[in-house]
Amino acid sequence: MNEKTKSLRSPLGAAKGRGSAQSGFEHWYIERISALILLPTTAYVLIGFLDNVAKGGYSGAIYWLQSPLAAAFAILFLFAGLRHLVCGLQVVMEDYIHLTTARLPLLFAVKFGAVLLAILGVLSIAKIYFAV
Amino acid sequence: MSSPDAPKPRPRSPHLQIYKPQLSSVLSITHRASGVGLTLGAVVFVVWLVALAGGQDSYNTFLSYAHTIIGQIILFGLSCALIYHYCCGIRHLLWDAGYCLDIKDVYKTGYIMLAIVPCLIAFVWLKAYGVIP
Repeated sequence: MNEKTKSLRSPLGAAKGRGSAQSGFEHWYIERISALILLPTTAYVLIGFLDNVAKGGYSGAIYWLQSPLAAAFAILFLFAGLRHLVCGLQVVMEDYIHLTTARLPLLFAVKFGAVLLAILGVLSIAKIYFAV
Repeated sequence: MSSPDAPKPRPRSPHLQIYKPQLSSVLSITHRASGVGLTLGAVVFVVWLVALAGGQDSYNTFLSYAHTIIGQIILFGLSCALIYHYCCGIRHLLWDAGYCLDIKDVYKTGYIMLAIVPCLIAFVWLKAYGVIP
């Protein structure tokens, strides 16, 4: 190191804050926890769908989603699924889209879309459940 | 060919185009692709809920799209992606928990999954069409 670029900062000071953003574990953890929640809820929703909707059509679907257990599992399936989706799409985008100015708006759009779908889904399930 | 005096060529990183596909890599990229595809699945699920909440008429409109050939192809693709991602995801969770990590188990669980997935897809669609009560 020549004299011109020599800094007064200590090596420790220069190195601090240069590591990870310290939030990677949470992302990893949420992706797994949502996956664990999705194991029973996906199976429940898929089997319930086949038993009620594929057989009973519109009235079968309404009857199914008016049971508390089905409505609860459908909401849980929706929330865990969308949270898992945001985690997964974020990883994929971070791997393949290197241009930050493209990646950040896209990531925002994905998160916005997921929140919108969650609200729409819950309102619809609530409307069916309370039969309004 | 390089002469004995020339430096040995450096090993090059494998490019996807010339890299022999292996079960582990193919299943991994398919897991990712099916996950991305299931984004459409989430949209379709919510559209279905909204149509259902809108009453009989809006539900019939949804069905008129779902029952077209393109609609059935999309639904079939989504069901394949869902069942594949579900089964492959169980393997990923097993790995995260520290199980089945050596190559032998990776291949074994991979082949088990490849046997189960088509059966589940067939079961779902036979049930959906009422072939299985």
